Amino acid sequence: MRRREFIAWLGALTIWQAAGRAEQPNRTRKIGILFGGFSSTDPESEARITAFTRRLHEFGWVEGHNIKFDVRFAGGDESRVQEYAKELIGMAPDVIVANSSPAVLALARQTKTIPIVFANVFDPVGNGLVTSLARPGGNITGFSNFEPVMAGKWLELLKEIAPNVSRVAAMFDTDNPASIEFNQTVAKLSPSFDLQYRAAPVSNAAEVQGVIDAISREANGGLVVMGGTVTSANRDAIVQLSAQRRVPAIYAFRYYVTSGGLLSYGVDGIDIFRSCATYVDVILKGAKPADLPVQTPTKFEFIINLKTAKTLGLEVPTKLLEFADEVIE
Amino acid sequence: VLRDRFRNVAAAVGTGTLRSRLFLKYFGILFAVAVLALLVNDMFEIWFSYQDHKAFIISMQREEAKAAADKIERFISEIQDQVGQVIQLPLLESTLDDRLIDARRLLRQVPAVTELTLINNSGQEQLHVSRFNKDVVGSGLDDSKIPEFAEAVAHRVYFGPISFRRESEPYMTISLAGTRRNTGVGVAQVNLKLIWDVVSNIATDEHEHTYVVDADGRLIADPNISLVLRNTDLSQLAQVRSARDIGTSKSGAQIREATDIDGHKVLTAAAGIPQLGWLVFVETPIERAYAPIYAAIKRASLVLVGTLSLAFVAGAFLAQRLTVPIHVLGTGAARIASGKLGQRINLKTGDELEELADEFNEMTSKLEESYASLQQKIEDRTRELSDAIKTQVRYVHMLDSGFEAIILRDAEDRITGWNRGAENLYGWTREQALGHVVHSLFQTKFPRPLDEILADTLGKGHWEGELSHKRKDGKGIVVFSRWTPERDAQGQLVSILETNMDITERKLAETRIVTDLCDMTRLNQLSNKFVREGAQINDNLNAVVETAIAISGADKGNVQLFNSDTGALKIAAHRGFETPFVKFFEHVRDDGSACASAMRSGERVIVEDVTMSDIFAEQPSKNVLIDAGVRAVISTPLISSRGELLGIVSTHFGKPHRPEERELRLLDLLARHTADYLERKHAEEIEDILVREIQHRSNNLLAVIQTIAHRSLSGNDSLAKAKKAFEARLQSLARVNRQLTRANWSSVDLSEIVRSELQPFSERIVVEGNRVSLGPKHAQNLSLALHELATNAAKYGALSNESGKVAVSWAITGYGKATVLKFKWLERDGPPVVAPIRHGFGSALLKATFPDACVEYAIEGLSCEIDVALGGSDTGPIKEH
Repeated sequence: MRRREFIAWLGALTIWQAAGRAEQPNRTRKIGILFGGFSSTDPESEARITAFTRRLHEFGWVEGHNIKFDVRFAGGDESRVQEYAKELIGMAPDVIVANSSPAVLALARQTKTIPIVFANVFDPVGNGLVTSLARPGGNITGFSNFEPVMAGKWLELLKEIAPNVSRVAAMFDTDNPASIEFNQTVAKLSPSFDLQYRAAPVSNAAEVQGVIDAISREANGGLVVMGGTVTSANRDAIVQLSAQRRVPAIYAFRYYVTSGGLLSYGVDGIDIFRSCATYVDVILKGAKPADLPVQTPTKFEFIINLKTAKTLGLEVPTKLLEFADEVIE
Repeated sequence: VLRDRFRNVAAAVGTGTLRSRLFLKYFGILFAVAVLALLVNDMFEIWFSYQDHKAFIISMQREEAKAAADKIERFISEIQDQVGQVIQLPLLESTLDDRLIDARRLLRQVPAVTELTLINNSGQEQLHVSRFNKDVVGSGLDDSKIPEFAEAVAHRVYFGPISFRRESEPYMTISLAGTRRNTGVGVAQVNLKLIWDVVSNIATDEHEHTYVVDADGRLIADPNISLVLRNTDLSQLAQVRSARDIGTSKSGAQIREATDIDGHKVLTAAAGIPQLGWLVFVETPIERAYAPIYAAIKRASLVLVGTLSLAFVAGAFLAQRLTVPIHVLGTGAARIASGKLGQRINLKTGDELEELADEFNEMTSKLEESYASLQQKIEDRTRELSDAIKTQVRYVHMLDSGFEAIILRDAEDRITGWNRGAENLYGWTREQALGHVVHSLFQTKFPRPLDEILADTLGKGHWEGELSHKRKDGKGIVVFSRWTPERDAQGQLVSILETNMDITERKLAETRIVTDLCDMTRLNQLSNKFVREGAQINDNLNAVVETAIAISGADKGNVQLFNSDTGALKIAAHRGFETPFVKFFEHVRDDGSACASAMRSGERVIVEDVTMSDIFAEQPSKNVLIDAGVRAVISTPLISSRGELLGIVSTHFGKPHRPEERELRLLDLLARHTADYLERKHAEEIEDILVREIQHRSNNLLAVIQTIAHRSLSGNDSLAKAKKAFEARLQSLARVNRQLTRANWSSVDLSEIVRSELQPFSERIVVEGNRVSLGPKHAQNLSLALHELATNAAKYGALSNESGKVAVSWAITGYGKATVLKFKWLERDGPPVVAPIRHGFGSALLKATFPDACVEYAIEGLSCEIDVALGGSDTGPIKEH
């Protein structure tokens, strides 16, 4: 065998091997991400995406190398949610991550094939996204967040930090089914905490302001702000108004408190987003969403903003402080 | 030899057999070695690494399982501890708030715990803290019957069964009874999903499958959460069974290879959590577990293939490296062999082959140099050779045409080569000479025995010397012979080259020179003898004869001296002759003989054969000679420096003889020497005579004068008269002495004496007579006699008058010793003669001088006759004494 031929042969072998090995990473996977409530400028969005991509990175998925993200922020606008959902599906990504129920519902309506991993979705069985938590059965799986019973926890914690509160307004997105269930729980449990309940569905900023104005006008008014695209989109306004009107408020998510809200109790949205990455990973590696059970949150966090408490003239008892995962001073 | 080797190599390379053989051999060996080494190495490596890897993976899995089990155990015991802390203090109504705080703290600190229920010792639920629900304080529910309480009270610790909350998360209760009074029982609801977080943190390999089963063999933790959530029963899996058996019976060994729930072959390892009865499995699909092995094998195979290819290539390359240089060397050698020495083998292998190539190159360059120089040499040699051949041809030509005989003979001395020189020298043609034994052909006379000469020839490599040969015509020749032997490789004599040069002439010349030298020596000796004082002339003349005989190779010889008086030759010395010859030739005058002839002519006379010679024709001498055994004569005259004949040297030969030039020259030399000698001898004699004559003459003169004086003064005459007569007589004496002196005292002509004595009376005196030489004595005597006669005549005789005349005459009679001068004085017409009364001095003197003188005083005039015997007195005065 002549040397030249051998070298050529060797070279071919190497290339073949390299080709075999490079098969997987060579194809850039497209991941669509749809945020229902958050805007692109929201620090929470960034935090969640960062947590998500970092986790993916740990699995070997590197943006620009073997994955590509297409992120859309509907910012709480229902029409844009639909629009972006359509747009993302049109891109035919390998998997779509959807944050919040409206987003995943919008996507679920439009595709039965593209795997969808949802995060922070309430009652996926109830709203028909999956057949069961253990066996989702379709192209959708993900991580649910709250269970309605948690509403009792909100009332309990609100009552403990502001024992004087006797009226409570439960603010929730008008068309968010989860919120409705929560609302029902709040309504059911309010008497056990000696609280007069009032449902406060909102669908825009004005309504949000109206709710807070209304409750602040009543004596010993308190506010429970549930998750939703509208509430989360108007969270700054809610927090500011609550502070202005001196309304003690408990929120479903941490980011309300970091923005100046009094306290929050709920799942760690960022952690859930991080968990999504594990399903995205296995889906990209060939797993079927149908076999991936919907996971419920395991991590809950309770955050107290002592500064706000102080502004509101509230004293924080030990039993709250002991329970608090984070105390903002 | 080198060239042959080159040619062989070149031939082998040319046909390609060598190359392919070498190539295949080297290639085969190199490749086989590489293959074998690689294969064996890889086999062993794979086998051992397979075993090692398996053991390693198992142990790794076991370690991981243990670690996971530990973690789980720690996780559980941590929860236990936390719960334990909560139930450290009495659970009383009064302390419920504190417990709430404690409980909430626990929830905060232990995320896995979702709910905590505190039950007092009587089984009443006192506190229920939940993450999901509102907390319930002092509900007083009766929990005394639930196993969590009962078991905890009984065993202090109770791990409840796994339950699945909302079909999703596995939950387990951990119940713990307080150790003090009224501390009650704490029941914690634990979300086992978080165990997975714990376990999954252990997994190091993504392909490893770590899962946990509970005591019943139910899956409680698995990366595939769906399996867990589906409440999978793994109790039928072999590994689970085996592990459970070990856990229960503490016997047997955990199987290592099993099938997992998906039916995949796996390597498995387990670790138990005794407290819970759980088992942690760590499994790796065999293909995954062995993937590194397979990869290694694959890699090794690839590498093997690669290395084999490499070995192939390397083998080929090395073989090529080995064979190509050899090929290059071969072709180089072939080039060298084919004579292309200008090219070099260009090998840069950096090893011995390069060295070899360099050596080749060096050798080639040397070859080239030597070839060049060889070519140069060949050219030179060719030129030299052609020159040499030309020369040789010339030589051969010369040799063949030369005077040197070149004869080649074989070991048996048979002639095998014969040049024209030999032909010329010996007379035999080549055809005639070839094959003959050289020595017998030439009748060679050797100076030494032939064997010795041959031994010399072989020993010294050549021999040279003089040999006597006979030519074909029988004539003997002397040759200078040079023998050069030729030997074969074994040193055996093959042939002898004999070069013969005719030196006969030279030998003769040598002989002649020797003879000449001898003769010259003789002549020289003779000359010396001549010069030597005191030698007798006869001895010397005998020596002359002997010398003459010797130098001319004659048998006999003689020397004759010429007597100028007699005009005859007289033998002064002879040799080899008998009396008749000596007698006959004692005096030679003018007769028929060689000497006489020579005497006459003053030149040499050669009579080659007496019998044939004109000189001796009809001569009596002829017979005398023949009788004396003489057939040839050479007579050489001895001529003085003044050209006078002094004598003859004759040599006589018993056979007819023609003298050679050198013989004649030598005789001339001899004659010259002898003549010189004789001349000198003669001069010496004359000198001697002169001295003696002067003595004698002066004595005589004094005696004569004394006599004259006595006669003149003893008379009666007056003194004056006597004086006058004395003076006149002295004058007469002086006159004749003057004449004698003028004649060198040898002889004086008589007429001269007469004329001078009678000069005063010349008109009245008539002289008549032949020329007669007289010796000094006769001259003196006659002179004195004449003086007396004249004086007497003048006084008394015819001359005393005016008319008187005197006639003087003389004649010679007889010859030899009988020669007599008859002198006659006759006066006429003078006064009448009167016989003297007294005889005067005159007559007395006359009578005293010539006793035979006859004076007659006739009337007409006085007459006087005197006979003077001249015979035998040629040198009269000498002989007289």
